[in-house]
Amino acid sequence: MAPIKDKFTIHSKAVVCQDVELKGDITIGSGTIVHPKATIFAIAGPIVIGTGCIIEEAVIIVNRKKEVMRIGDENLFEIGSRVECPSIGDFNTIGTRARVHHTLRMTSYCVIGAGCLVVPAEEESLEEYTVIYGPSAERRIWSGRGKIQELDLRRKHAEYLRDMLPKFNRLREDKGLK
Amino acid sequence: MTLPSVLYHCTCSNAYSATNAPPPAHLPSSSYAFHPLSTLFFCEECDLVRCNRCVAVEVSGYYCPNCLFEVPSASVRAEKNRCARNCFQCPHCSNTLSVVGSDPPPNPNPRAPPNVNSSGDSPFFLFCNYCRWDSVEAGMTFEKPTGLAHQLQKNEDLAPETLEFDRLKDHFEPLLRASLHSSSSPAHPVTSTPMNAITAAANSALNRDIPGLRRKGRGEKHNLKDEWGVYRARIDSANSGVDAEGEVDFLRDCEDVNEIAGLEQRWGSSWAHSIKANDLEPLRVPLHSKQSKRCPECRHILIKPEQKSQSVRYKIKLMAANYLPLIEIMLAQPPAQMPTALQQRTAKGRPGAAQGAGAGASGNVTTVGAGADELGAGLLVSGRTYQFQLAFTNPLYDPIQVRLSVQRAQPTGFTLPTAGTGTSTKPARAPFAISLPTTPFPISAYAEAWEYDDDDEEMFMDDEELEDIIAGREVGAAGGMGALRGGRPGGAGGSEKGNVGVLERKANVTKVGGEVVLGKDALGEIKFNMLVSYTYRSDDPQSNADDGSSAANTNKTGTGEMKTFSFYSVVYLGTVGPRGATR
Amino acid sequence: MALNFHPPIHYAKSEYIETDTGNKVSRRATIAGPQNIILGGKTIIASGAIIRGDLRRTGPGHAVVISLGRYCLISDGCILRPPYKTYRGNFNYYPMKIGDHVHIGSNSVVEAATIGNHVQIGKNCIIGKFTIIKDCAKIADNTVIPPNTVVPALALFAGSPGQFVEDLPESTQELIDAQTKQYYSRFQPLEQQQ
Repeated sequence: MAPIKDKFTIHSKAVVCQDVELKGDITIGSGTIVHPKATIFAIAGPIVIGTGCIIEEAVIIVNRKKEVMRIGDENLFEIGSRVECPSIGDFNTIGTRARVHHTLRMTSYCVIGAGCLVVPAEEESLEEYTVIYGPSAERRIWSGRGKIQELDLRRKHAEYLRDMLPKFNRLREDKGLK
Repeated sequence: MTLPSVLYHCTCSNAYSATNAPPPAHLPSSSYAFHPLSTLFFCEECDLVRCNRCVAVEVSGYYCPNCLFEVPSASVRAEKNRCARNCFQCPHCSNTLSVVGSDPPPNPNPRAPPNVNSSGDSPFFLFCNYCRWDSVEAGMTFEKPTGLAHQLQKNEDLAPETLEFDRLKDHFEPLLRASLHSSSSPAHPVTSTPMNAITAAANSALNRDIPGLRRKGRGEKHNLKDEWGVYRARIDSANSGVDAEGEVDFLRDCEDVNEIAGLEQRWGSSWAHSIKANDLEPLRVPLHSKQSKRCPECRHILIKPEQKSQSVRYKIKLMAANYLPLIEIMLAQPPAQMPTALQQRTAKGRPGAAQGAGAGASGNVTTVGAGADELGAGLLVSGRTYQFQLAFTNPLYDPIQVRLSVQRAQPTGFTLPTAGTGTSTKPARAPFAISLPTTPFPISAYAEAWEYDDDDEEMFMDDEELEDIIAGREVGAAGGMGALRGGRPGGAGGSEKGNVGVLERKANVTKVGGEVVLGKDALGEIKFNMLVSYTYRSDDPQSNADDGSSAANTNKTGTGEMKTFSFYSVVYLGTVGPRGATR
Repeated sequence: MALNFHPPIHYAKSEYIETDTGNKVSRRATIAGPQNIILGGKTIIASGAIIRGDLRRTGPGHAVVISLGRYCLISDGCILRPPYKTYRGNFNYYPMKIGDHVHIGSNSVVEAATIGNHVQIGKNCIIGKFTIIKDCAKIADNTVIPPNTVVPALALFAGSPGQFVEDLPESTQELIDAQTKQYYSRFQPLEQQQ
């Protein structure tokens, strides 16, 4: 495989810490936050991340496919999760240390519980509001009750981080470059 | 594989045997007779070790494990042993639920910031942050975010099974009381009488309901029967039972297995619960208790916790660890002189070692080949000789003299578990032999100063002491290994006893060496019962603490003030893998 | 209670920084916002650990974000991060307090509010936001404790979601006290020969 050229397109209103590993063709949208020690690898195809996402420490996002990996808006990638989904909609939560394989596509409002391993044998698209939880990755459909409060929490959280992270962490300098 | 270990015997497993000796180590019952020292108690009155299986347990207080509220025993009954505050379990995943408010009405513009009320909007419901179940699914919402338990308990109390149970209780209550009063058995008044009453009631009910039984059995007790009237159920179970047809219909149309409540999920509810997952209701969190423990013989208190539910302190705490020496065991490590060879070997042999007894066992390798990997994994090889060390730590403020002996109760008919290899026809012989120091050895008294200290100014001393310990250990190990290698050329049988005896004395710790010779047929777990007897001065504290020989002398002369305590322990050395696996 | 036969645990002297009070912190650990972190003394932070002292509560003045007691061990790859929530409509991070003699196994993620004294947390555990773990409790390896869980004193929790398994022996405090002190003394520097 030919080595991918690094090409980072980071919106000027995104907050990406310096201690973050980026490789390949990566686009990060407005208001998205990438904590220190996170890793985003566009090995084969590019990765495009939308607005208002929070990518916490030790998260690994990898695109192994040729096609563009699109991550929508206001998704939360919690500590140490590893995601290889070729597409992710909006407002999903990937819990702490959860791992999601490249055979799974995520729509919106899905929740992958902490520590869950999701490895579908065949390509699969997760229905909206699906909750995966427990040691054997059981599934449920969430009623969606409480989602407005959760959205409110996530927006305030992102707002707080945009304000606070730069005070204690160095940010990447190559922002806003096209 | 488990590491070598030493467990202590509690005599309660001998309740029905004549001796105080534990079962031989190779019997399955052995595992029930021995416990880690840290879990054992000591009754000073009986001068005996007690374990969690034999102590009498009393509840000294109830609390909710979630909100940690200490529930007065008067309310425990009324609240049916569950938390009456805001603590609930998710019926799906048993995680603790939180009370949350409803979302505000959706904003027509989805991109606009939502208008969220800071204290949440009514109606409130219970929400699981693990599987995202909520009580609205079971049709439960609440006007206020507080006092939910009372609303739930009202439902519980009106459930048919609760009413039936209460009715049963009311029916039997006078009976229980009556039989309590009339009881004349003095032996165990508290525990045995209610049992008798219940048994009697059950017998009577059986006799009444199953005519055959009555005729066959206790005809002479006829007069007892019906003394307390006939119990009439609230509901005629034959006619108003579960809607079986409805259930069958539901199951026939069911397409998703998640629509059916699992056994674990229904387990916590009553026996009459619906099989539909949608009907699962949140459960109030069951209470936990703090317990006092008493000696089963003399009823003296061994454990009495402090009242506060989250305190880890005890008003009374008689742990065996404060009376009996702590025994730790280690199989000797390979000699330090061979580090390079060993590293190469372990590097190569690792995959093999992970499977069975290790690559070192295959060829004509010297004992050095029994690498750290194998010892660390508790794997032993038959036909070999292993050295081990036992460290004894004295918890008493007086020096003690310890004598060890191996329980020689190996039954004559003992045969190896041969797993069908046909060797069982050979005459049975102990598959291994243990050598332990035969003479008593001293352990110095425990003194507060031996403890590593918390204070920073003592850091320096700490390090020095630590270095000494490390140096001492290295010397001891090397010396022991020298003896081992010296004995090696003479063949398996001719090993010297150089390693068997006292190896090191340091503060209130004495280390002694032992040896195990594994027979060619040794297989399975290698463990043996060891009788530990220690003698201590019961009341005279002025004897010279550190001089072992003088302590031995006083032992002979002043027997009046010396006390001896003996206990059994089981020493597990490791496991010999099946011979096939070693090749 | 002594623990004999445990060989020293050696570390490369150059890898760790030792403070006046005996804390040993790996240079390969990520300590964000160190001015907001308090270590009680004789506490070890191993390599690869991430401690988020930067996620502080908003407001004026000095804010302690994470405080650790004495004789604690934060093993390889552990992540300690303070919990967050909105309260009365305001978003904030809240401090995390960890007591004395607390060992946290490798690769565990902790977002607890309070952890008492003499607490053992195993390997690969996930301790959710605002969890409260009381004194002498133990969390088995690979346990997932969901947010807002309370673990009572002297309880063993295991599973996913973490559930009560059994009460720990009455001697737990002495046992853990000795073990954590022993661990600290065994943790010794090794001068490198290269």
